[in-house]
Amino acid sequence: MRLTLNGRPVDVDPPGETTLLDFLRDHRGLTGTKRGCDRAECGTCTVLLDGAPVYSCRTLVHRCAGRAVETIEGLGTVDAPHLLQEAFVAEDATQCGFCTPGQIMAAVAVLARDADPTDEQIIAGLSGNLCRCGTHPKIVRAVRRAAAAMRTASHG
Amino acid sequence: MTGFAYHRPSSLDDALAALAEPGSLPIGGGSDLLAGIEEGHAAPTRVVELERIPELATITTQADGGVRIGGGVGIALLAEAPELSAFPVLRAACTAVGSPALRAMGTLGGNLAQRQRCWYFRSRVGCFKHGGTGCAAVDGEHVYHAIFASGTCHAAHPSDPAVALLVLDARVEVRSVRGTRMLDIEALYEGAAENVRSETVLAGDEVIVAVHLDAAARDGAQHWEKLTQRGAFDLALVSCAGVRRTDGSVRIALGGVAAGPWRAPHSVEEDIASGGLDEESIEALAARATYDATPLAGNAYKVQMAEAAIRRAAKTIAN
Amino acid sequence: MADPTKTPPRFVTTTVEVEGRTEERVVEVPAFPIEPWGPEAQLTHVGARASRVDGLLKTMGRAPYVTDVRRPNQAYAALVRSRIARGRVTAIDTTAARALPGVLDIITHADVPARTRLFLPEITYFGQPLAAVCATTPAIAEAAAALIRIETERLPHIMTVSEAETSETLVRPGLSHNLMGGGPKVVERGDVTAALATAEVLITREVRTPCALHSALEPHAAVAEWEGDRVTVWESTQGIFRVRDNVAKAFGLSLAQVRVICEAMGGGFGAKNNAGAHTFVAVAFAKRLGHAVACVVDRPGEQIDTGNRPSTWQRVTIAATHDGQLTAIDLEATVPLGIAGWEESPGDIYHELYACPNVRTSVRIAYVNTGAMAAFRAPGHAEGSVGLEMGLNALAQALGIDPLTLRERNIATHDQRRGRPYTGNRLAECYAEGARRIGWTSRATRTASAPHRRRGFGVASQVWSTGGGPPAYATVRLNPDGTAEVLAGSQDLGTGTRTILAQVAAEALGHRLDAVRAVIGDTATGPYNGNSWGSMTVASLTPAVRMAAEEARRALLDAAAGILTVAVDRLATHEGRITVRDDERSLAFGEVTAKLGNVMIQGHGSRGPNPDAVGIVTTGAQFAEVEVDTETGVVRVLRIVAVHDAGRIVNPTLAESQLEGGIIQGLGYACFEERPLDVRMGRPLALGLHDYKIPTHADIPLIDGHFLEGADPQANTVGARGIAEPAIIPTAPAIAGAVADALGVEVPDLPLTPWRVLAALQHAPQRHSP
Repeated sequence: MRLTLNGRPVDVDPPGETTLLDFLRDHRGLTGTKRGCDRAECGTCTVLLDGAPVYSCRTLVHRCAGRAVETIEGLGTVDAPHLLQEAFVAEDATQCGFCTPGQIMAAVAVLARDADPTDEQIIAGLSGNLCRCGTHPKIVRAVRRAAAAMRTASHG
Repeated sequence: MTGFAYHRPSSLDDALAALAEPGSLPIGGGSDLLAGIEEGHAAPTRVVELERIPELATITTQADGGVRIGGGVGIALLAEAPELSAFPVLRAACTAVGSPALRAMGTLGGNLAQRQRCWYFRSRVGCFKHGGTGCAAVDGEHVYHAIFASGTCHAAHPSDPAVALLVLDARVEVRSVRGTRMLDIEALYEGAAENVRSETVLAGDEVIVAVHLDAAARDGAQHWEKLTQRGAFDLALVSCAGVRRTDGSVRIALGGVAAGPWRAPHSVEEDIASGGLDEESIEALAARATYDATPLAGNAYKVQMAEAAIRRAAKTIAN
Repeated sequence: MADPTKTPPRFVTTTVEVEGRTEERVVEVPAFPIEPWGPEAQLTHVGARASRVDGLLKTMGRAPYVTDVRRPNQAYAALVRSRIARGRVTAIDTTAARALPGVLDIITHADVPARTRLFLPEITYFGQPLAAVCATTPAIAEAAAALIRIETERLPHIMTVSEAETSETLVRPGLSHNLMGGGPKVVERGDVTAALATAEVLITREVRTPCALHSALEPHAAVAEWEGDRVTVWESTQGIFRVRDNVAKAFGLSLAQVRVICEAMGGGFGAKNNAGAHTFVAVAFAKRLGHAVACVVDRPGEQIDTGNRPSTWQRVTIAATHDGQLTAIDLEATVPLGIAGWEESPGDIYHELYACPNVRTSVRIAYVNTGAMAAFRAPGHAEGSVGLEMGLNALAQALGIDPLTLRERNIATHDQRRGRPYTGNRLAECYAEGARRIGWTSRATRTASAPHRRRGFGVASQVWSTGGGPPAYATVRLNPDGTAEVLAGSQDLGTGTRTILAQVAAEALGHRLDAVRAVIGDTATGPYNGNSWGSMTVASLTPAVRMAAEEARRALLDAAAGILTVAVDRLATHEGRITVRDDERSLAFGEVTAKLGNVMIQGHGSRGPNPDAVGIVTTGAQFAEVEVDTETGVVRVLRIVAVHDAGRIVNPTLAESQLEGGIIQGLGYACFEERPLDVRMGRPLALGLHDYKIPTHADIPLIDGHFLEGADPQANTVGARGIAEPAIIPTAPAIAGAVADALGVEVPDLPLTPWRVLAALQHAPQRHSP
């Protein structure tokens, strides 16, 4: 089977039971996607499948055949961070940081749907991503900030 | 998780043939099946993908205004499907499912066929569905359990869309190599509290090919409410769907209260349909609706919640 | 480095409070005196909203958590746990597991050193580790763990305090009594019986608080790798040196043979203070197999066996005069602790928070057959404040006094428990500022959003010892290019330790913040520091960093004075440059250090003793605004206003993050969180994060968190106190008070779930919407 991983085609043939999370972390060494619960209850493993947020812990790799998977590693780099990543730093929207990649991937999906989301839309879009440090207010602010920056960038 | 093969069928026939072989199970989004495999109440040697089979992946509006929803259509898609704009109760129920990721992963068929979330069932302890006797929840921890007992199991079915489909008189098209059958959504969950292998009547080789909504169920007044502890990412303590059809008839259903979606007594629906209700009569009919409730020691609050939800539904869909 | 003011190090004893417990500590007196930064100090980096230095890495998914460590040939271990609460292992069959391809090794009781106390055949709680398997991948290890058959003989378990008290049998071997200390722990100040007998007004209330689970999103995890007779352990921990001690002791190693690393960790909240079974399993397998082994606790294990905040039952009686002066507080409480743990008493806050001459607390803490407790953010106080504040609300109602006014009349001006003054207690200002922000006096004008909803307001307060203390050490060194490094064997739990250490060092050096980097999280590179617990890290460690930086700065100035041929006392530092008073000349730090070649300027800093006979506390008040649906019992928290006095705030942004975090955890405790337990089976039922409900984005109220400006120069040389635990203490009782205000009836038990709210409403007086 072939899937697209962060923009690049990848040919793989893992056992049927291999989850996307196992594949990313244990086969590909992409440890930015976190394993918080392994049972679709926390959101730390959120990645995008054809642009939609999914919990990679309960998504089989085979389900991704012919589809595009995007992980936090595909988003930005330290030298060229994504506007969401910059906004998360600017708003201090990380505490322990373990939920952060999942929050950001969920936020990418929110902003892809709506360039100028309301707080309610942001909250709804991130409501499947838990945070135990209680960073929620700053995460929502960061997404709002990134949305504004992305609108400016696309108009500028 | 124990090993299994993954089969992406080339056609519906291919899928059905694969499912006819022992050890095969259909997979939708996978969130419930993979949990079941891990927890040990499902042990497929092969899973068969359904969501990309054309017949299962599409929503079709019929000439008469009825709608056929493929069983593999994603919940997230349904939540916003323009084809369902005349069925807002279903869109609202789909929007209420889990979280954005669970909605993006989950399919309608998978959601309807998901297993109970009961913690005894999931822990495989004190549960007749796992070879035990009776239901440990009855004298145990059952705050989330059913208040309308219909058999041994006291779990409350977790599906939100099922509740909306019930008030829409949806029919479920089920297919296997042995043929096709149409079931009322109510019939899909017949015996849910006694069935061991599943909460639905689906045989191991059967799949939900489509859900059909009749044109007569379009528009009118439609209402949805889901009562939860958390503001999101939670199962219903009680959910309520209500419709008043354009012909004036009323249907009310609850989720979170029984082993499957639960339909209010017809006399209650008829009273709501007859209209002209004041606060007092609405209160009385809500109380009548839950008259047969048999709550356990620790979940009688759900009766209050159910009545509140029915009152609100009655008010919103009243003339 | 000649310093005429330097005197030989000497050691004295000082008092340090950790999680409410007082400990005597030997402390190294700093080499030279340092003038504390008082409230008026003009500071550049300290007090600034500096960005979290590791924030960007976290947003990239590149912060190196232990679960992300990948060593050569790394294998993965999984634990096999008991499925019964009490009994003993009679047989273990590993045949099927061993036959699974990819399985490398299996260990049971006989295979590990006795001091690890791993895999004891005597089962004393559900989820107790009984064996472990190691395999080439985590998935194989998990599959193999499920194949290990353990036969057990079941014994009756004990799950409640009353069972523990009356049972003939002990909940575990080695106890002499099921009650900690053999009976109730009674602490009394004054004469409560006499004061109650003459009370003008008296109320009694009973409340229950739930067993709460830490639920950090990163599970407990360790990776171990041996090199000869030395082992390196990567551990997600709040205390790298404590884990080093634990591992050395368990495996009979010297401290020099153990290195512990924790570069990034995904939350602890008190549950990650020690090495655990997973640590010892990783170390044991790594030794047997000769390569690195990771052991990550799975989510069910995390929710069952990594600690909890025990539930409590509290009966509080409060007496007061008609004008609202407290005259007596009497508490009877019980705590089912779990199979092990320490005495975290809900009673302590009753002695501290409000002024009252007669206070008695009688607390029965029972061992029971559930997982061991572990410190959880303000252990004891978070539970006790619920009973105390609900009691105060009841008293206010009985007296016909505004609940805020009642609290303002009973501010504890000094440390009543120990009969000493506080370095400061600005609780009155917190009340005033918080009341202003929430609009307390005009709250009656705020109406609910629908007829079936009711709006309510509540207030609660907080006191918590946050003075920190020694031992804490830091080294500050200047590189030849003038950049600086802070070395400290501390760790960053997500609080921002790295950022704050850099800020303090930059301030004391007179350096640019971006030229200073904190290197923490490694016992091999950083000097000793204690655990990040008890809201202590800032108050303990930053003075040591300041000291180290001041010493390095002195050495730098000595060198600069030689280069510039001026007297040292004419030199100053600012933003990485050395300037000369009344002189145009200046030098960049790098120009001086480059001239020194390989001579490295290093400053050594140690935390000085705490001031004698004085209490150091953070105080604060929180106000809650809620709306309750009276038909369904659903509570929604709309707003929390929090005002705290924590001395100097080193970084307001990070402090606000922590404050909001404490409030949101408190909200979860108030509204959702409880460990479901089947007492018949002795079995916890919540194995994940759906059945144990922590708040989601959709549950977050508007939070207005504010710190009073100021500094506490008496506390330490930086003037800072802690905030982590103070943040959570008043949240739940403020919310509970607001719900009671909305309903006109108290909901006595937390969390405030729909079923509890609806049950309470059945006893409520009828109230009609306006």
